[in-house]
Amino acid sequence: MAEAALALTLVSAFGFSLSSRAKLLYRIGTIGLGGATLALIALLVYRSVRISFPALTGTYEGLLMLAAGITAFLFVSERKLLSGNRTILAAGSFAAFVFLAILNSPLIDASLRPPVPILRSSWLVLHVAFAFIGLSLFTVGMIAGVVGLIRSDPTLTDTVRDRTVVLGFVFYATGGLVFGAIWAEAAWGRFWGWDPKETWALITVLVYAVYLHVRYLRSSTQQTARVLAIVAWAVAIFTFFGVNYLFSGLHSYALQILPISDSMRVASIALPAVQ
Amino acid sequence: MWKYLRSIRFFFLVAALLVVFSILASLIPQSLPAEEYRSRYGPAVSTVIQALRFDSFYRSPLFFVLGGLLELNLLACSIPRLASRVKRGTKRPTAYAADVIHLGLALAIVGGVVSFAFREEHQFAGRVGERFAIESGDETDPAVVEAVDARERTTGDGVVVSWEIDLRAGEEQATVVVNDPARLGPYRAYFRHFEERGVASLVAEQGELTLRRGEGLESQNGTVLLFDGFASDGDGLFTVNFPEAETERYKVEPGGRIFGLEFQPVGTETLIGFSLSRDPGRPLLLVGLVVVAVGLALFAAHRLQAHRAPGSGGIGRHEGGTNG
Repeated sequence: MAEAALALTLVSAFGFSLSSRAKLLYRIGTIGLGGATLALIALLVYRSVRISFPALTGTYEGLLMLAAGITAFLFVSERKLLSGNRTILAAGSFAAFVFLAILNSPLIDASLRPPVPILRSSWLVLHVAFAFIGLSLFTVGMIAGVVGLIRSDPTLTDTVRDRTVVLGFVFYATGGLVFGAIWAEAAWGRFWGWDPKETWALITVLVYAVYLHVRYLRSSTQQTARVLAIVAWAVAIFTFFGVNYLFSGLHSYALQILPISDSMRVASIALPAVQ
Repeated sequence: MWKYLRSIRFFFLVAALLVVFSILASLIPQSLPAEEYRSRYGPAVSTVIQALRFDSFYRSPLFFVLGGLLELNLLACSIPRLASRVKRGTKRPTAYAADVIHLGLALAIVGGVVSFAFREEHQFAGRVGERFAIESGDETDPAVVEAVDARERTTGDGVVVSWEIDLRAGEEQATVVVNDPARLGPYRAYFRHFEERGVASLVAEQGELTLRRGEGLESQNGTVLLFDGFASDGDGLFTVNFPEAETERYKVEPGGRIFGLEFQPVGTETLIGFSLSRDPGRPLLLVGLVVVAVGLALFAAHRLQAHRAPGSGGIGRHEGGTNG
């Protein structure tokens, strides 16, 4: 199903980018987006049913949610907010394709295992789901920022960027920081531990907070906001990917979550040579 | 000066410093011994790291100063604006969104500082049936906590879904479940660890030795024999690390021999871990986080209203350079 979604997002990206030549291609692009969204949601539901718990705790599921969030948002707001803007629709579909290509690559472990008890928390489900919805919206905001930098008349892309970043911030800050902190307190007895992932999530929120405030400065321009939307997205995506691979901590999914008791040890007892 | 302290530019400065220092702190390993920094970064850089307390940044005066400045900025920006809105009788709750977020953050920062200063935590690891002494210095506290029992909850197909530890302190009892702390006397008790560990006996000519999973023996020539626990059929699993050679794994039946030692299974023991904490900052932090979440929801609602009404200036847009 992930392969089908991968193909559909590619079809969608090509459909939208070539749709100036034929309206049918635009229609194909829209159908591709809708199909990819359905396939990704179905895959997420299937994986959740298999483990009898919302499948949201690994990098695979993170990428799945990220791609599903992007395609769902593009599909739902294609007419109203995006006003059929082919550039954003094509670039958004391509971004979902890239995330799905990474998901389908050998870099990502696709195996499905029931979560360990500490990951069986409603707060964790909310924490992860909200954070990835936020990240999906940030991705659309970044794309609108890039398109705004290139285009000569970027009014629509600026509106799209502003709305997606604002909504993304609400989801990301609520899920990533508030729900995450509440879960951490229940699981480890403290709201915040300065784990690398937590630190970088805070950095992401601070950079987006700067984005949200920059509009109130008289001297600020849309150009500043466009650049900030791109920089902030780079920080957010590093928080998701980079931190997992470069730093170890409680959020490194491959590592053991629970602390090992100090009684685990190798007894260094000298015995006669065992040959 | 006051105008600058409540300005957006001042927020940008504090945010930029927090971002830069947090990136540095995430790149520099925290809380290592001084010699470790010297060997990693050399004497000059390690001296700078330690002088600026980047080896323990989130406990450093620099971090607290930045946190204090952010607090000042949040309060200086929001309190006068909030007062003026209340005075004007603004009734739309969404108009207060930014101030609610700011005040929630300010409360959470205060909670964090109170927590840092007064939080007390005791961590325990051991076996079921063991008694653990609490050294809090407070005579009214229960002096000893006993881990009465512990269990693993599984589904019908063997998937582990929960761990629980029964604790007793004096007359009080509590069951601590993973992700679900419990009150025990003046403390909140948190689950930390659960593990069923195999115990085996190895019989040699010189005598008998009991090994728990993860424990092992070292021979005079440096060969290490580790007991890895039991296979599902009850056989013993062992790893042998030969000096300067590959590691080998062995599966041994009860009564069988490995390196001349007779293996006999003894059974399993349950290892547990839990912590007790008392944190006066917790209620403030919790309320602060909830207020932030409410503020963010109001913020989203406000933006939606603004988009439905074209020409709206968004949250708190005003003429000056002060914080919005």
